[in-house]
Amino acid sequence: MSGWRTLLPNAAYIARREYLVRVRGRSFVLSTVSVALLALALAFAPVVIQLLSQGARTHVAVYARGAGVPADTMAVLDRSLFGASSVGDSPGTRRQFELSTATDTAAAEADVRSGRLDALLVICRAGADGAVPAACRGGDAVGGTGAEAATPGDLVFAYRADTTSNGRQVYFVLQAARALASEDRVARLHIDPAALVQLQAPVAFSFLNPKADAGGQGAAGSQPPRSDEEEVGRILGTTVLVVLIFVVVITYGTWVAMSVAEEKSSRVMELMLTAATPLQMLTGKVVGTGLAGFTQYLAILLAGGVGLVLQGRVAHLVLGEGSASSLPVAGLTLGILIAFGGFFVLGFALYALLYAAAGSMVSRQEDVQQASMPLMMVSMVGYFAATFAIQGIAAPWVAPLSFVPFFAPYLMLARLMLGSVAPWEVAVCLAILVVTIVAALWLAARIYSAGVLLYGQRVGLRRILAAARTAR
Amino acid sequence: MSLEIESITKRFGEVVALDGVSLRVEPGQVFGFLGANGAGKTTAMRIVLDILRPDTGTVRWEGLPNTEVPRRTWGYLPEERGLYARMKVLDQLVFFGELQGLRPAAARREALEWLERFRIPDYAGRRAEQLSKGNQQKVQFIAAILHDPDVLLMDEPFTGLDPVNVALLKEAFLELRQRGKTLVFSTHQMETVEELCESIAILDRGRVVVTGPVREVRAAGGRRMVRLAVADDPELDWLDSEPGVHVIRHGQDYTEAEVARDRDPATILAEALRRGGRVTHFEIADPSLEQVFIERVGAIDRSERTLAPRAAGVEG
Repeated sequence: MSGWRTLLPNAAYIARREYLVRVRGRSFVLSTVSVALLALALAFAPVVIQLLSQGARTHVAVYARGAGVPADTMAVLDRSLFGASSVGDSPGTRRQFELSTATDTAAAEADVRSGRLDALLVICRAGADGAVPAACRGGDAVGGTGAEAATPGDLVFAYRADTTSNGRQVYFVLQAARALASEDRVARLHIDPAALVQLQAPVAFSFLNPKADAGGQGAAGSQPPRSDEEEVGRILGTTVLVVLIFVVVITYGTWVAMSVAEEKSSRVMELMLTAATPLQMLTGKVVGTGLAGFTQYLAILLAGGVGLVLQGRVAHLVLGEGSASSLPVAGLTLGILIAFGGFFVLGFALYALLYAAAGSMVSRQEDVQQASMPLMMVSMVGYFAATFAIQGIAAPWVAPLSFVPFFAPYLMLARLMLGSVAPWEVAVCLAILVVTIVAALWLAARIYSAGVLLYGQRVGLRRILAAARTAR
Repeated sequence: MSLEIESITKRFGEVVALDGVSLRVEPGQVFGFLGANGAGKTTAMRIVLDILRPDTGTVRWEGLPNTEVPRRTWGYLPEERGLYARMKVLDQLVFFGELQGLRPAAARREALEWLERFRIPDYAGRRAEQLSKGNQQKVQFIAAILHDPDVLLMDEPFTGLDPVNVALLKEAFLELRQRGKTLVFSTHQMETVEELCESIAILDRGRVVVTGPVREVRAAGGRRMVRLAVADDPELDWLDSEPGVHVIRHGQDYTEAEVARDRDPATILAEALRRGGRVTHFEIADPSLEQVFIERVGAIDRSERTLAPRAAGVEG
């Protein structure tokens, strides 16, 4: 085929035209701006939600004047509820609670009933026989300790509130109560602070992967196993990357097919065929549309990224200190991002070429969806396989399937993020992908040059293949 | 050193679109391609342009097979007109020029010049979809010739144009011919062919029925026509009953009759004068292309109806 020799400059002219027409189109600008705005809005969503829930504080009155209750209880409770040492880590606790001192339990209970007060916390001390004072009796037990009988001499807590509307808050108060009680116990048992430190010292536990050390090649090396948090972050990160590739393949692949069908239905194709080879047209179209797609994509990612960076600062400004929230995504190292870029571009190229061939088989843009359905299906299989693989990356079917070029962009990426992959595996996978792309280019060019001249009724695959055999 | 098409055959499945077609177009000529719908004209042009590959046969230009002839040798105006609807006229002309190897500045200059000549310079900045069909067609013609091709193939270039634009296009044809270009076009309009073409080919169901210089094609059948008008006898009822004379057409301007070989046409004039008429028009002529066409294509239509079944979807 003479087309191989003379890809440029015509492919570049076609790509440039494709890119400019696409990028200057009103629908492109509209969709890019609106989705970018949406990404920005999503990035700011946590701040907005926090801001909105800021007004809804739970006003808790505390009665700590019972016999035997330490005088500094209010201060300790304040510290445990809001301090960094206990549940205070969770952002916004201070904005969720407001503490006040109650002097009369009966009056305060009445206020809770009437809704003037959200909750009342009564603190008593159990007697030497474990008897609970009257003020703290009644109600159901939370966290294992009975309300009617307690450990002798311990602090006893009674929480009066409409828990149907304030369910979550109970647990913050419960945490604070536990901290208060254990501090009280430490004091009563006269435990040496040094002994306490020893008791709570971390356990030594080391990790070594003999397999990795023996081979010296294992991608995982002898890194310690990931923490739960890290694992969840990686799963989230993998899901995001896989979804991004899936969206790109489907959306921009369809763009390519639409653009081919448009040229065919407007009959510009005939003029183009005398000026350029099918290979030049195909390459130009995929590159031009791809670049337009990536432009849109970058704009959206940039908006989302800027939003994420800004939202931390905005949260700081609007909500005050202690409001920083980090991105719960882990494992996005530079290597992974490069691999993602590679699979992103190659995966798009492979699918886009076939989408172009599909577009050349129909005469009207309305038929594009139908013609490209098989490709959509294949892409979906890859996508779902990856989402299943995320659940158990070591499953025996994952590794072999990750070398299949149509699934590789999804599955190999998931394996890189979650499992251990040797460098040669990545190299082989990429090589298979590149070879498949070249084969797809050749096949698509033949289908294309045959398809673009067949008008009228929808053309079956058999007829296309027959025509492709005789086409130049 | 000409465009030679040698025994080209092309099938689409069961349908034989071209069946051993051989043609020769001399360089610098205007060549007309005649044929009914589905005769194979478009397929022949696509094969010359190497858009389609023939099953058998070769196409040569100046001795080179068409697969090796540089693309910019050819200019093509397809039958199915199409432009990028949302692209500005000048932008797409420059784009097509670039694809054919022109520098952007040169493509721009040429395009503006041609738009001027076709009296649509104001449309350079408009989107193609805002133009009328006729104007789009002119833009497409410009796209076909912008890169100054040596051979210009045009499929029904006059269809859909008003008389003023037909005249503009004919002017452009003649100028291109003066520049030494070879022009091949297909049409149904016989008068245009007789006006512009030096040589023609008549295609019918994938076969060349007759080809050669227009004069020879018209004379080849051996038929002679007499055109006669007599001032006081518009009906000329006697003419048809003359031996060896067959009236073909009664017209307002003159009556046309075919004269058999063994009769001297001059005797018809003598007969008219003998009858005392005032003869205002007498002409001995070859049959018109239209008559040749109807005779040739019609005859084959009767005798070889089963040669190539006509199928939908394959336009010739």
